Amino acid sequence: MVASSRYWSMWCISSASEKLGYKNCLIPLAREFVQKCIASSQGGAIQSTLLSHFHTKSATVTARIQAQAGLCLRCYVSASILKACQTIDHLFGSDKSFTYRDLLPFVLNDDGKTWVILDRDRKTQLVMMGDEPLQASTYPFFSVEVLRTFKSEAQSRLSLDNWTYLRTKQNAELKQFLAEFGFRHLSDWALLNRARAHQLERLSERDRHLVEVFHGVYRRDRRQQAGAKRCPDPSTEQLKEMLSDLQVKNVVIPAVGELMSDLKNIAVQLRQYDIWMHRVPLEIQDPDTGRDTIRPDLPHCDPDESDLEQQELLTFFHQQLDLALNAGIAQELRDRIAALERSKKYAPLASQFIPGLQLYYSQGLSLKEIAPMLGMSSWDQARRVINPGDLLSKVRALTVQQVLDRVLEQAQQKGFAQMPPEPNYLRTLAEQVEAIADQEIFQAAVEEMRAGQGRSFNSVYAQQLRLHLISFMQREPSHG
Amino acid sequence: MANMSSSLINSRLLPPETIWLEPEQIEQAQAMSECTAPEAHQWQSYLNALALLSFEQWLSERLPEYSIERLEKSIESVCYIEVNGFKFCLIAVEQVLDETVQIHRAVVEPEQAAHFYVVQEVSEEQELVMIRGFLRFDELIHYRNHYLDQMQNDSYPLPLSLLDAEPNHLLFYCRALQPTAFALRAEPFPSPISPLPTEGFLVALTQTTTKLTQWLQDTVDESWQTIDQFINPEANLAFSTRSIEAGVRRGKLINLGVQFGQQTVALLVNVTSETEGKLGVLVQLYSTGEARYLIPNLKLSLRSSTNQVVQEVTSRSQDNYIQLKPFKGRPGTRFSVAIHLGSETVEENFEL
Repeated sequence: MVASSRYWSMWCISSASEKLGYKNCLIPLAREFVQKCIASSQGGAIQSTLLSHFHTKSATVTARIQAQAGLCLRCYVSASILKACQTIDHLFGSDKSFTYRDLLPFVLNDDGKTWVILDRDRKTQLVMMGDEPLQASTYPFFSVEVLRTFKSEAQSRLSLDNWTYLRTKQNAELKQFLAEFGFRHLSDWALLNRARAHQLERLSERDRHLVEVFHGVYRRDRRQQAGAKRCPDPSTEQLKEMLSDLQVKNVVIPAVGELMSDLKNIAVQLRQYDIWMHRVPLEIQDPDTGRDTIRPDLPHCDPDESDLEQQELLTFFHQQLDLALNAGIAQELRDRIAALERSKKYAPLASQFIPGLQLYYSQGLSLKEIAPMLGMSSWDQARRVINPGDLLSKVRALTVQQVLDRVLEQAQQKGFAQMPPEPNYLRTLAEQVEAIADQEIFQAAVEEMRAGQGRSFNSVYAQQLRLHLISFMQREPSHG
Repeated sequence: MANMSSSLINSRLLPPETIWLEPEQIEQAQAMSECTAPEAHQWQSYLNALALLSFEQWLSERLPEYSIERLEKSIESVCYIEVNGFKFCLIAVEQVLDETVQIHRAVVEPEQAAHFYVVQEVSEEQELVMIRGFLRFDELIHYRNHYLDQMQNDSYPLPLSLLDAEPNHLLFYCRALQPTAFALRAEPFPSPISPLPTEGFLVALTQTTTKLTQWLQDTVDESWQTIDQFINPEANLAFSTRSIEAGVRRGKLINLGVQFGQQTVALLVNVTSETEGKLGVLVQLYSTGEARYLIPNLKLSLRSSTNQVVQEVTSRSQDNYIQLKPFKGRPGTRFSVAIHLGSETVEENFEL
């Protein structure tokens, strides 16, 4: 087995590549170290060898070796740190006021240029500069902190990936940031509405009573307000009703004003990420051995090298990909127009769909800029009608579906797959098709969409889409 | 980038699939959740209704060829629909920041069981619903049996990372599979499928998969015998064991049936522990009894997990044994070995 390049490529923060906010840097020293010094260890043993060098207390391991092993490990954890930030981003859902890019500066602060080792007590990061004496670091790297606190010797330890994820989620600065911005898109009342038993457990008993009473009154009325948007402040009547419900629970609050500020105080507490974060261990006890093992559902990679027949299929679906993309775009554009025409609310705007996309993809305008040009009342309306993200997502689904159908057909013909296929076989195949489709087409399309102001669309997807838009406008001038 | 995506958790290129709610859907959901239940339940039914309506919309746009039917339910906390014979159990939550989803124990009981359990996050104030992922029935049961059975609560905590984050896979399953692809029967513990002996030519070995890693731990199914057991007057075996190094060696006798004078052959498997945690396997087929040679044109083949023939060897007129080239693999790798004679085949499944 070849050592993973994770040990010598570091994910670093990057303002230059604004789209993503990060880049992958090759660290030649780390690669050299793995290939020359560690190559004899295999697979999982590479990591433990590196860890034992980095955490060494033995005098025979030189500081230089310690630092080099550390560098490899810092590369390794950088991928997990980046992933953790993206996961937190996804966990918070859509429409919020931050992205993973805002989280990166707190935790992805290593550039792999400094040599760092730990002191013998494993308390301090020490910087190595040539032959100068070791110095305590004034700018500790988060990656090294993760490694410093990682107990590699413990029998029932977390995997390094999971440890990194946990530490990233608990990074103080990151949590502070999330307390400020994580729930900014939600009103106090929506936060109170969504609080469940798990969150209430972290509040005082009195506060719990307040939330329960709030739920009884406010949620009930909320359901009655048809199509209400942002949750309004509770009315005096609602607050009065809550007060009398509280009396039943022996909680006495003299006035509605006081209840209001108490509720807002609870909302402040609910803005702490900690309250929502359940401390479920990432690893579980194996019932058979009683030892902690990595949860089977967590990531593990096992590329199946022997599956030659899969390789054969891969070549085949590369060929199918372009065909499928074209068909997918054509079909989805037709479906979208038809759906808009059917909609009571958006039918009048159906003819603006193609021109809207044209402005978005050919002129690089934002939806905010496009809305007034096409007679739409708001950004929200433009987003719902044009919705380039949703278009991309559906074209991706259609493309993958079509390639998958063809590959499955082939596999069945050649006797690789049963008819109908095994569920797991189908999923593995789908994941392979997705991985290739993303790598060749959709990754670039997503990235250019994420880039803000002044973006240009050059991906294969954007180019194909523009061709379709042009032919659409020529064929059906009403959409032009 | 490819390296990145393959090595990391449950990542989906795109953010979770998001469905914007329209005012009509919100009104409909309000009407659906009107009842006399306590407020906490009504709020949940309201969320369920929003999740149901948005999922129906999402599905109907993607599978326009199938109709969606709502099913009666007996559990308050979820909704059910059926599409092309597949049952979906829809679970609505308001946030997933704790990375767990609580689901009611009863949803896997026979009457309530569904093919897919879909988790949706309803963001009421923002008027949107996200599809967080889904789990197949068999996967849910597997997880429950291995990790949750000791729990006495009304609900199971499912880690979010257990879910398949790609909702498009639901569409693929609905299109390509049959609803019978996995039985909606929750057996408390997986029971091995018992061997089905068949009449006539070549008695089927077993339908089970033999786990070779266990051999090295001294756990061998009794249908596999030690070589000593073969050394008796009836089974006069003269095994060529020169090439076989240390390891565990077991064999099975296979009767070729009346057509071939009840000749018995012995399938021998030798497992060794190799470097890098791999296992080495040598498969041989011997003549036994009075027959000095194997029947000519007896074919021994090795197939990969995807049923691709990887190796093949055929007996000639005077072979007393044939063997596959020794091969190695990682624990967990599946393969099968088959013996073919004319148009008949008998197969044995293995897992390293």
